[in-house]
Amino acid sequence: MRLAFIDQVFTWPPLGGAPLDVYNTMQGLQDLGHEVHLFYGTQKENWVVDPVDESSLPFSATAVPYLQEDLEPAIIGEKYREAVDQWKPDIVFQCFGFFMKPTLTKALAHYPQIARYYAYEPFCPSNYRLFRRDKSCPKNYLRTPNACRRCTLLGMRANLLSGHTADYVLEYENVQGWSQHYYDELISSLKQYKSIIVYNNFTKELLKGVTDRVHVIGGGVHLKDFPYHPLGTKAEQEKTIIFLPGRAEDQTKGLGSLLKAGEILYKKRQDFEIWVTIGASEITYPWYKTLGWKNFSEIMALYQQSDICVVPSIWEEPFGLVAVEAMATGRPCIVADVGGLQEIVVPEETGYIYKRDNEKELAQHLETLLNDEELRQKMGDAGRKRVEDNYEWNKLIERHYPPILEEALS
Amino acid sequence: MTDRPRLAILFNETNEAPKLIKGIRRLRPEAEIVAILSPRAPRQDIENEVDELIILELSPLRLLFTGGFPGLIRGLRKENFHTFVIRYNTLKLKLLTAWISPQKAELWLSHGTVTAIEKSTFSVLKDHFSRKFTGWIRFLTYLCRVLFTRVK
Repeated sequence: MRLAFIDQVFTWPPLGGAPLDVYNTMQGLQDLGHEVHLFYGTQKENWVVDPVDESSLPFSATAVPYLQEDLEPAIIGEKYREAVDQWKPDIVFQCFGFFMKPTLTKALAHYPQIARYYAYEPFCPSNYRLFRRDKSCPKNYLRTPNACRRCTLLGMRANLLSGHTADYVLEYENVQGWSQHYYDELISSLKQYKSIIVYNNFTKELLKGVTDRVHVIGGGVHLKDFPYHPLGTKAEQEKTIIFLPGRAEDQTKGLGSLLKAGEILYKKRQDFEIWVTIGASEITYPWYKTLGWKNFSEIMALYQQSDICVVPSIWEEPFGLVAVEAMATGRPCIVADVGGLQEIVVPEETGYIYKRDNEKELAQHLETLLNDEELRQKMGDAGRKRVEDNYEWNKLIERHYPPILEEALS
Repeated sequence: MTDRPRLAILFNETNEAPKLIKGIRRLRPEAEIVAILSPRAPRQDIENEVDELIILELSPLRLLFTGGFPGLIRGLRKENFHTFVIRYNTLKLKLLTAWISPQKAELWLSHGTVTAIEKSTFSVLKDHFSRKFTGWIRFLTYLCRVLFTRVK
């Protein structure tokens, strides 16, 4: 089959889990014998995002270039339609995108389409994270559109008032994200997809009543990228390394909870260090080490140097790839009871799950693992086994995708 | 000194500084990058990434109390920057830029766009307030639509 993947915000090298997911899904489907091709949006004048390094992609790709002033539904729809029509796919996968995703779905309505949601794009137009005032938000735009419209607009107030709108806010303005028309187009796109793939059961629940063609498929890892590295025995004075990987500077990632847990622990013991992949900050503790942003191979080495991995997210983390990566390396994981994370870790077996934002409970679990080297090793080994059985990319693709593709063509 | 155009970045805050420097290196590869930092700002993420570091008192309050503001302007003018980059869309930063009078002044916003800054005090004020005014009009228009029409 010829499978086209549309990602309006693709980055490579990847910034975050979404482009990695696209990459691995495409590569896995290619390995199954399908022809795959990526179509991605690119803005050359944007300084934040580096150009996609196409030479390091194992599949073919077409950039769909646009300028800020092109960010109009009609123009964007036309640009992607033109590019995709030239390639003539059998199925189109709609990957990451924000307010333009329904527009593109409409522009490519002559193909069977499958959508992947990486965060909470259709449920939270405010920030696609269902995260408001430092907490998870219980609302859902599909069910409470009027409340969500108010929240979205008030959230964009500062940006609109500055007179410098771009990207997310500009898309919102240009598609008239507040309108009945946009809401209808979003609902219609969700109903139009032959399948919708989400990361966790929480997201599946949010789509209830709109469509039942929803599949929960987590992300995964290639085991060769994360070789098993069993925990060794610690020397007498050697510190135990607690590691928080990922974009820790992001408020939703819960670094604050981990630091508070560190403060609690440090009063009792000084045999640990907390390592975080974050740039230098004004926060200093004798047990806290900032590592800066690390590339893929550096991250692998850090997992191997660490003893315990913590993912203290305070939003409904859609998946939590870092937990799978740490488990693949053979590290026990302590995670918050959010979104996909609570589906990855098996409590008491591969690590612990604690109530989000509850630093005392987190500190307790850390203490249990700090006290017991054997338990760390046992949980680390169990984590590796769980990843081998459930989160190996090729197995994931082989298990889930063939029936979804058949369903899309039926 | 080299023949490369000197591009100064005013880091009144240093968050995401390496990302900005990387973006500038990509879009302005010919530039010699000078970072201007306050004495209290963390430097380790920046000093190895730029060609030159200038440490200056940047706190408006301290400058006001010590009377150091005219000296700051004079010092930065003497540096004769080709391009002066600020990161935040505030009137005080835009005015400071106009007073330093580099050949070019730019606002590199966190969402990735680069906007030219006006060069004279009057045009900075005019541009700033007209953007604010149109921003308010747009916001109030959308707010009315959100409040007075319901999505069903």
